[in-house]
Amino acid sequence: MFARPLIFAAGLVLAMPAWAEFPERNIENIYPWAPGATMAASQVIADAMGKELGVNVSVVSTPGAAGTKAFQVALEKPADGYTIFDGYVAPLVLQPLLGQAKWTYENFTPLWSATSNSFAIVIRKDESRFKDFPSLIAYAKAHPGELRYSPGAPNGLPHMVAAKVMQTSDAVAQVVPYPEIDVAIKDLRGGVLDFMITNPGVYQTNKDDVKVVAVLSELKRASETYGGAPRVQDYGIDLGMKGLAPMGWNWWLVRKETPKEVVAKLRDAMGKALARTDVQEKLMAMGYVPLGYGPDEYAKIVGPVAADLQSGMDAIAWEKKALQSVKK
Amino acid sequence: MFELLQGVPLFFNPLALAATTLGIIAGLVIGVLPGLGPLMGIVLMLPVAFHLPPIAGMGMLIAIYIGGSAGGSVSAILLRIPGTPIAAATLFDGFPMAQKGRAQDAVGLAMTASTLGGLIGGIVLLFFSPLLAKFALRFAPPEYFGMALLGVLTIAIVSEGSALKGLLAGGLGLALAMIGTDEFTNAYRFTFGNFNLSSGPHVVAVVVGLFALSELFFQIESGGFLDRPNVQRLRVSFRAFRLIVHHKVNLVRSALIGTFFGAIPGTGGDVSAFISYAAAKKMSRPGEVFGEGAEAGIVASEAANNGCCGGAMIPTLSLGIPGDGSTAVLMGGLILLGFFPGPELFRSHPEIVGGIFIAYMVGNIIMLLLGVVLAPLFGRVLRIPKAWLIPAVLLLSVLGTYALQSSVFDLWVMLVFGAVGYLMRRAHYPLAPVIIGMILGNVLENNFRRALLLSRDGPMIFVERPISAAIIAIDILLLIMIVVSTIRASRRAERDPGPDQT
Amino acid sequence: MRRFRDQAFDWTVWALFAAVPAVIFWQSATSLEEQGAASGGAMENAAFYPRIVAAIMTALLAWHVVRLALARSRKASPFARGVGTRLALVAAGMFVGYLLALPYAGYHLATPILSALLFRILGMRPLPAVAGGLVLSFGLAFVFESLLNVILPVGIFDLALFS
Repeated sequence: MFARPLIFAAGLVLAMPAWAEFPERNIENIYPWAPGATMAASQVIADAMGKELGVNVSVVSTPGAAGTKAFQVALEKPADGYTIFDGYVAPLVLQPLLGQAKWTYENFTPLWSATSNSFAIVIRKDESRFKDFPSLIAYAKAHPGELRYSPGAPNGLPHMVAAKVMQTSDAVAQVVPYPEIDVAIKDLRGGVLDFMITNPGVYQTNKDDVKVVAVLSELKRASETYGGAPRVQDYGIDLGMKGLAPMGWNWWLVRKETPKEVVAKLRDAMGKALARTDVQEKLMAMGYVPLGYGPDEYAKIVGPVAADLQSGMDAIAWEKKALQSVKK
Repeated sequence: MFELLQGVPLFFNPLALAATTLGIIAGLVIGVLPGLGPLMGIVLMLPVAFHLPPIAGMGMLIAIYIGGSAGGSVSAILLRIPGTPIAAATLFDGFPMAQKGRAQDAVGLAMTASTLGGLIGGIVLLFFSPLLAKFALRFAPPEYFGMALLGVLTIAIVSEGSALKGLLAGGLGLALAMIGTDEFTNAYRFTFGNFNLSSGPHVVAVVVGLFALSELFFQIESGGFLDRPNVQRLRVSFRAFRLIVHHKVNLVRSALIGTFFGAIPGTGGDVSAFISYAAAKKMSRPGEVFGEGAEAGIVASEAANNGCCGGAMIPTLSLGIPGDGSTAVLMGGLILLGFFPGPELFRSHPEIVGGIFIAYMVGNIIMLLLGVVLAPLFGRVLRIPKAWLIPAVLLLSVLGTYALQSSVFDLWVMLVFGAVGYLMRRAHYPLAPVIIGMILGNVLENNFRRALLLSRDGPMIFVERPISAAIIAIDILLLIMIVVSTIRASRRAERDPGPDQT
Repeated sequence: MRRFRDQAFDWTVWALFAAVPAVIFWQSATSLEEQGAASGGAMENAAFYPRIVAAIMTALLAWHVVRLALARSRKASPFARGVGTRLALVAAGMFVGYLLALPYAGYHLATPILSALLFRILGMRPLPAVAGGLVLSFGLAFVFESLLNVILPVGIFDLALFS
């Protein structure tokens, strides 16, 4: 007497996926870094996208292994569209290049590109030894290995662009890694670091105490997120990295085997969410520039980035040698 | 400071008050659930807060922070499950006290100490924010290294009587913290090629395993599943207020220790709770036996970990640098609501800062009232027969641990450490040092290496900076003290090979 | 031999702890060496600090083993069987089975079965045990899935009830 309703209930539960329409439950976005200002940008998009789909899209912070842990975790989940990769450039392009991950960007189905954030070199506002980019470089050249800077985590994108700048201008400074840029900025303000690489989110919360001396991108919009500060190219430095290559960006992705109808629904919802002006304004105010590239532009945009990153890796190798030669 | 009063009308309206009350309840519940702590609570409720007006939304998130920091004590006291690592020190005396039939007093004390600790932290936040914020900026890698070393050395005090076993357990914790991706070389360390270990085992999975799972095994071993335990009669009472008066010095000291550690970014409630517990133990009055249900132990741990909340808000609001993981997400919430924390916020939106401050203070008071009303309800848990309680606790541990990062691997970690915890307890090893070591391991190593990179004359950096030199001096003194007292204790033991003393 | 039996748990845990520095030294010399992270300065040497901790632990372990061998430890820790030790081992075995099944069966299939079985072996009658198992696992699932937006393991049948 007890068994029959139970079997019926079980049957009902088992039958559900067959007639339900996607999405019938909450969706997860697997975000590769620790919570902070950058995660807030993903949350804004997730929230707007969830409204379009009528379910909750939650951003799950899964830091570790330079961002690849999040990808590994998401790859373990079924290809049903309920798991979205927050495809940051580090786990998507950089780590595979370094031989630390076995996928390439071509192994995923793209939704829309999300945001980009350019990096910038900042110093303390009350710094007396140098006041702008040329004097910073001149000081670093005159005192090789003496200045100390942090690019946040080592061997990441900010480290690459920083090393590239130093290599191009033939200056050497001691690199001091921190787990996140958010942590390093405290020691810049406290006086133990001399300059550092920042992202717009961290700059926004610290702009009273730090000064941007150079924005590390050739794009005009990048300079706008730093209050119109000069770009390195304005000082005649060629980064050798174009477009998205010297910047942090993320492209939301799903697994390749995800059913077409599901992908179409997700793309549609994300496109609509990103097209909303209030979403765009919110992202801009936080310093994150909506990219606006659609799914069909994925290969065209992401492909060239890989080639440019190689020169950044060479710059880090150069910096390592240079630092060893200035050590007593 | 008077501009901050502009926040009063923003906070004292039905919506903000309701959101704060709801936040406290949600925080307490989330804190009680094993595994989930204030950080997860804030992350999980962020999407809700996002749709409220700024002060109501922030009030709710802060309330979850406060409630979550206090709620962990309830399950620590009643079930020997620290809901969060920050409640692990509360368990030392809370659980024995509850086993002796004083569950309600223990919960009441924990709630009162949390509230008062939180309020003291709030007062410091109000008056000394700029000063402490400036001081916090002078803490750089060498200072962090010294502080972390101090925390590791307190292991010997917390586990007095078996300092050797305590230090071994601490060593295990330090070793666990090494697992994962090295912060400087990006090398995979002790991961054995398993990507689940690429950021190390999750500390909460280890905590729940060590404490909760091992306890369940002990409980099943001892039988008597359908007995109804006899516990203190439970009713709403304000006895805890009278009890806490006896511990006023301890309360204030612990709250200040908590606030201080909170204000220094990177050291959180867990560390401050252990350190203030160690301090209270060192200064205990005769007749107070720590580890067997001393009221002072609960007061020290709880006042510190909630004082820490107020402390952690100091650098968050006045510098824009979060004091710990929870405040990092709180800051994210504030940014989502359109306000960037930092000195500028005090000038441009004093009403927001004021509203947040009032929400923090009122949240603490609401928690006290709720805590007193709910204490009997919580205490009733102990009257449930074991046959019901054991499966419930097991499932709570499973769900809470799984929810951390949606990972079945974490459940295996929990199980393995359940076994390790069982063996360690059978062999009379203290468990808490594993947690202290695990939390402080990364702070210790990475700041040591960072300091050496910053320095141009090698290890001289640790003594050239005045604050660092002072902390290192304290470290050395403490080390000498520990060595001397350990040698004395073992001499005494040889003369008098008495039975079990701890 | 009695010495070993009286301190059986202490010796077991000693062996467990002794494995920690052993693994540290072994991995530093192999895996970290291969990754080029076992020598050099503060930036390059990821094995320096682990080796220090391992060395200190080795010293402490050596001290402890002397104490154990000389029977200086005051507390006995023999393997002893309690009233419910067998039951506890059975429950632990069931939990291992549950963890193995969870990714495939999903939460909503595996958990009611585990909790009903637990209720049963802890002495409850079959009907209340089944009912208790269902109420407990679905009640908790409701809290986590619908109030906290956690996605519980869905398994190969893609089972999700409250989200």
